[in-house]
Amino acid sequence: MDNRDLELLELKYWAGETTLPEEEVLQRAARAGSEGLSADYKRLVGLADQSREAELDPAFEAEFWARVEGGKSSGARIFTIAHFIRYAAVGIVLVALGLGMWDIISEDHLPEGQLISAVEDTYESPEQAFEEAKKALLFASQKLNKGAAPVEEIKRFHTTKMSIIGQGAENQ
Amino acid sequence: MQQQEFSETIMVFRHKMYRFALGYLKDEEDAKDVVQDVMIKLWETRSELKEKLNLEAWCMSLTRNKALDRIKQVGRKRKSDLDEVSPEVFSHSFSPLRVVSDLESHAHITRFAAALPEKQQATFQLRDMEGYSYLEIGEMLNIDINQVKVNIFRARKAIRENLVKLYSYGQ
Amino acid sequence: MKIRNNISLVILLLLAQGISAQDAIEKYFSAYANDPSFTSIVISSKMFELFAKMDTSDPENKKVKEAIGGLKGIRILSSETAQGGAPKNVQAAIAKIGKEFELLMSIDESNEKVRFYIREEGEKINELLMIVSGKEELFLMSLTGDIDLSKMSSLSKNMNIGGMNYLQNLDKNDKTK
Repeated sequence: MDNRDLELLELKYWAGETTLPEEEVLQRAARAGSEGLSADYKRLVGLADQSREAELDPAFEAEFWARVEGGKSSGARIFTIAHFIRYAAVGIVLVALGLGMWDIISEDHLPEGQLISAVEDTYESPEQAFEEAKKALLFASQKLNKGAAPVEEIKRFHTTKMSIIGQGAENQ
Repeated sequence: MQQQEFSETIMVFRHKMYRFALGYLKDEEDAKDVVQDVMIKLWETRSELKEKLNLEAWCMSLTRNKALDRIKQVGRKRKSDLDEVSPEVFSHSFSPLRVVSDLESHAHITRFAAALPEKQQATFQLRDMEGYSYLEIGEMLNIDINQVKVNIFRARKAIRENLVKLYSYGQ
Repeated sequence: MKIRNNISLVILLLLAQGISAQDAIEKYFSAYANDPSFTSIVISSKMFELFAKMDTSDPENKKVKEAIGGLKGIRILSSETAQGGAPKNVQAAIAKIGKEFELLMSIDESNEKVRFYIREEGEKINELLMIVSGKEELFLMSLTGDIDLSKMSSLSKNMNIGGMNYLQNLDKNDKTK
């Protein structure tokens, strides 16, 4: 589909006249950064994609069945051992001794260093640490710029288009 | 219906239901609670589910109702003032990097979508985020197909206007 | 019942909800610091104080020093999972990043996703969290202190050092304590 077709299809979209297959075409083109589409639309697709990432945590279903089997539907949350074992890796040990008798380790009684962070420097000399910090920051910096760049280009595209076509065209 | 079947036919909708609830409640915990409650109800009425023509639409419809109930219960006010968005965009001191970041517009679009009337926001979410057909959306929101079309048109138009606003600020 | 409350509290700690985000992320980093499948690097505030006193004749290093001026700490967790994909419990934990963190930017490419989160207090950013997840790797970096995004961004613009190989080189050198 060429840019002109996409432009027209996008107009249809804003008019609320597109079909689902047509919207899929538009979305794919938007993700590919097609020039036939407006920056607004591309941004909207980006947002929708991001929003769709929100999901329930993996424990949701297990919690549900536990609730069903517990016979309570009044909102009480019942935690099974499976639920805790999933998180055993983080160093918490919970011992269930039977109905209502949980040996709880509250925040106050945690073994030292398990949840309370003991800050131990990885490097002994500041020179070594500095080198590592430098590398890490450069890495982060490059990624930061990577993210900003495409948006800069979209903005430039937007400005150029505005000045060629004249005011208002972008807003149709 | 046994657990296995419930798992395979109903549980599979949980993420969409969650996102839908999130659109109403804006809070992860609340949205999760709503989905849990709806699942409980579905489980309790599982023998009647065979009669439902469109199970997914039914699940989403229940989610919407529960979410609306919850909003009423908690007394949350959904702001309907479209202008509420603009002051935040223009008064916050942006550093150059923040103006171009994805989040700023995301946060404001989300808040803007929330400022739309409920059916417009819901239609937008169900169509443009989850890809449901107009027919399905009509079932989920209990409106006819023409109203769905009108809502989609209005929602997209309103959101686009705000996108334009954000852009011109960034220049 | 009091016991129920304690359960909730512990679950909250594990799921990093409702606790101040700083503690949540620190706990997360600490928990995996001794896990052999992760490479962990910590640069503490003491170290940063020493940086300030360091002699830097190198102009590049001077720039770095400037950029890290306000920082108080760096924590890095990196894992290379030959099996493919980050461990699921790690993903779940990341999904629980608290509300105090705002998503600043995300870059999605076919082979990796990068997310930057910031935590602000008023007008200042006091934590920058970077998460890179690829098919076989997971990388988290937390920068705490007074963070200047524009300085950070200009850091790599003015330097020619290839930082892109950072991830590969990271796991090669044995950094675990």
